[in-house]
Amino acid sequence: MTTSYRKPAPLQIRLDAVPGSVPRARTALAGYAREVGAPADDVELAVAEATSNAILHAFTSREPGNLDLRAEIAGGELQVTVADDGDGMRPHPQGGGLGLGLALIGQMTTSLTIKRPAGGGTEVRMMFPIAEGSSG
Amino acid sequence: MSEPAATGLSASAERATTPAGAAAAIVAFEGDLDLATVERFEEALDERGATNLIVDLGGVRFIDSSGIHALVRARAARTASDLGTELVVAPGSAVERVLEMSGLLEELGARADRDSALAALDDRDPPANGRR
Repeated sequence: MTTSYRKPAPLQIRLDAVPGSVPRARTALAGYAREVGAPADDVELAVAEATSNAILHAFTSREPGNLDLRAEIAGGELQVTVADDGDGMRPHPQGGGLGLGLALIGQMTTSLTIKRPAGGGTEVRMMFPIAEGSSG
Repeated sequence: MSEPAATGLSASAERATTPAGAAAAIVAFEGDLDLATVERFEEALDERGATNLIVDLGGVRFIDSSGIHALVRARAARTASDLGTELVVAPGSAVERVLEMSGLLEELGARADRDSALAALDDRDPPANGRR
């Protein structure tokens, strides 16, 4: 059994880690998902959650930094990575915890990995299925 | 260089009356409810003041946990003041799906239309202090 899909170039975006970047991130990644035959609604929501988490929880003790988003086909699935250059995930003084966002991401992805890269920051890697026979 | 068009959220409000005659406000939203717009969402609800509230999300295309947290906060604040908050959510919509995934669809009082939501305000448990 083979899955045929067009393999577009990876998508890479750098955004400021501010609330106004959330719609830009999610709409761009949803468009890429649509192009490769992945569930665009799920990708849009998961990207919104991952970027919101970074904006709210990774820069609690300093000025907002950067968000680096990358989408590509890997192992027959859509791999989306949301990385920040913050101080790691910490509770936000105004609440709105990480729990619900991560729970939602977990329901939409085939795998979810959260890492602290050696260089600092946090990296969230999410995998999404690609519809069989999708041609993009 | 011009910025790309951002998604947004707009709100409109009107007064209403429940079948039993209680006053309520309906705030209807259109657009996307996420971290970028949640402040505008909360301001639109706060502008209604202390009244029973219908939050009509029928025109909302996208919601994430930022919006859900705001809904939970708004409902909790009004409940603490013996006021009701009900939601209108289009059946089969993305909003309904996300609320269902979050496990809060029932708890947040989601109804299919405004008439059902207004009737649900009357069906609330009577407040302890007798106010409506």
